[in-house]
Amino acid sequence: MEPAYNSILKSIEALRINHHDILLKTSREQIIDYIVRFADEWRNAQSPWRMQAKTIESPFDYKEVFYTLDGLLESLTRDSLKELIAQEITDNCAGYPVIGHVIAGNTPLIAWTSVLRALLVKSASFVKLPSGSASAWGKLFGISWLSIIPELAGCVVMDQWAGGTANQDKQLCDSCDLLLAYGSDDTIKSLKSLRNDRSFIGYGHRVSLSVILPGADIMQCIDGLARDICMYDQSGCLSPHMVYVIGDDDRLSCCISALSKAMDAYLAGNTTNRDIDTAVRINNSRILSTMEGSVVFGNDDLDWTIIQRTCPDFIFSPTHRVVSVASIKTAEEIFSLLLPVKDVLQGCSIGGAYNENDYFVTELKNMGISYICKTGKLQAPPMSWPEDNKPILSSLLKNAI
Amino acid sequence: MDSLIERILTFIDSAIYDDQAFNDLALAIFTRQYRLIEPYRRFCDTQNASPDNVTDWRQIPAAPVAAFKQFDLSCVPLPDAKTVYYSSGTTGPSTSKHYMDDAAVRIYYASLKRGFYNVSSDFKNLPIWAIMQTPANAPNSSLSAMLGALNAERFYWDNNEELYNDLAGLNTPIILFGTAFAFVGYFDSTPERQQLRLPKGSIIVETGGFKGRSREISREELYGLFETRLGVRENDCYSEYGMSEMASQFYSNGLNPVKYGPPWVRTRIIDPITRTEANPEEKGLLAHYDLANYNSLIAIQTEDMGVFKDTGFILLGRVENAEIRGCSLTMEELWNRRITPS
Repeated sequence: MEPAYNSILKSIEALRINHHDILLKTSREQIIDYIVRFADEWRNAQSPWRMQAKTIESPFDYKEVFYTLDGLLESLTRDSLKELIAQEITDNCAGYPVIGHVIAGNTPLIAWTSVLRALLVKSASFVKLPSGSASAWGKLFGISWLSIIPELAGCVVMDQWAGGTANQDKQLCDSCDLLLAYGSDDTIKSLKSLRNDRSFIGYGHRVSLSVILPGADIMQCIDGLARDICMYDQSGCLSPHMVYVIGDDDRLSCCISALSKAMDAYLAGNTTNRDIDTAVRINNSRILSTMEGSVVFGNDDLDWTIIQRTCPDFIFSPTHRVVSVASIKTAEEIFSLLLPVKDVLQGCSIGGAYNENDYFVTELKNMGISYICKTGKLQAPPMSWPEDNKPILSSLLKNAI
Repeated sequence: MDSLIERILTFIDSAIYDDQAFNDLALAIFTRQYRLIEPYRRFCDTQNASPDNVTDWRQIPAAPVAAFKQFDLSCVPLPDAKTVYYSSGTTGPSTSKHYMDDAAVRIYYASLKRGFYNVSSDFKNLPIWAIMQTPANAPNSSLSAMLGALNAERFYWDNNEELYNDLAGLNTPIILFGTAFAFVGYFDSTPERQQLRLPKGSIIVETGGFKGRSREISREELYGLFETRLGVRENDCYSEYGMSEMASQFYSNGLNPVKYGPPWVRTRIIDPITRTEANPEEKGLLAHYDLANYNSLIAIQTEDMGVFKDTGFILLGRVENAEIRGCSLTMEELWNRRITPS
């Protein structure tokens, strides 16, 4: 049901009051305690919230989401939150009173990290969830937060209406003190324009990649790589569009063969039931790749597609688990290949052993990649992940924009 | 090879439905395109389709229309393809390019003329006025080329007032041919004018649709305007469905949505997920086999959904997120330029 026009304004006014009456009077230590309590409740395997989460089916079912959820929960410890705060803000810093969050529907837990970060800077949150069933996890966050942390219940409001509904979007844009928007570049542009030069942070379209290092044991990293690609139908900003295998063509073939089996295993016989538009995109991608001389692997149900490219140039995927794989001789070749897409890079998962201080890793960071991890961890970023390389907390402070 | 060109032209000129002759020509054209267009051959090879084993036109692999954006699909070297038609819009990675050498242009002109005048005997001997750019000003527009080939007497572009005055002064019937968006632009820019009554026997041909980029009106509303503002009734209005990637066109009459093609074109309806032929009553993606696509690809898998009806098909819409394309776009660019405050 769409909210009444005035109810958004009323909700935000109530949040503003609660920001003043509750959040400003709560110490940051206490807020950290609340978040840890919330995380502890969710970490409990027998928690009723876990049980409720297991009933969520589509589009993001528990079997898939728990992986990202546990990655986030793992990072919600007292020490890590204190460290995050210490790195970015001082105790007398003030976040905006009310932050509006416009949440995209392509991955399930965006609202969780966005609201928790706002709380750390003592901002109240009005959250516009995606329409339809994509909002299920966001709603569950809201309900569980209300129940587990009643002390701050009045500081978070979840709502839902169809994106692009002019009145509601405008009301939200007019009323909140800072707007965080997650979505397509068109959505970001439209909301930014409605904000009319007021404080705004947009998280738009980004892509990721994976690299298999020369010494990596392919069989050890392949299941994780399949997970990185397959989760959320490859639609998140941390979904790899391209996999670079450092080595020769034999190694590439071995990787592709193993990846095909791993993707089948990940999906475990569950067909994705593609709609017409998606089927056309996938089929077109397959055929056009064939026409350009690439070799295409995939199943008949269009659940996944691997394209063995003859040219290693970075290629955007139409998503829906269509991934390009190419071999390169050295790790250093990657940097020139990534240059054309430098502005939209987000994450990189690496198969094989590496250290944070390795030249390869530091150069990837220099290229703007915000999250580097082992294969299998790409869809489980911690709370401290600086999405789009934007500061996590300090960007939410007044006078920060 | 010249004999193939002549055979195609003879078949077009005969305009008779001859399945065997169609099949023979289709296979000959496929053989040529398989041998000369490398990206297409690669695709055919993955489908195990080659001149050695394809015996029926239905077995000819239909390449996605998007291939015209990504590849230069030409049997002749590009310098020899002196004519190239672009899908509407500025050139770039999202523009289709349809290359034609002299032979292909000859076949294209033959097919469009025969196809046009086959629609109705009423078309014969009527002068044509076109609401679009001249071929000279839009050398890469297949629609402008088509109207040039049909010897359109006049072209109107961004001068609706002149068009109105000229229409008002008509004494004899004409065919008025324009994109749907151009017609809407004309009606919107002349709101205060009195309603015209084109001379009896006048015909309207509209094409292109609205493509979801700006103001859209229903076909019913558009045809209502043809009657109220131009005095041309529904039965004398026709819709042309074509694309820059295809040499031939389809036509429907009035508000009857069924589109009919000429005898040198065949259409299949393809299940978008399995890419096999859909059951006869089922909707699916339209794949056209056009003998007039001599230099490019005879078999094109479009992103248009449709369903068979009688001996034609009904268009059900474009697959979403397929790039917006079509002739209406050039009028829109013009319109937006005018309505944007300076």
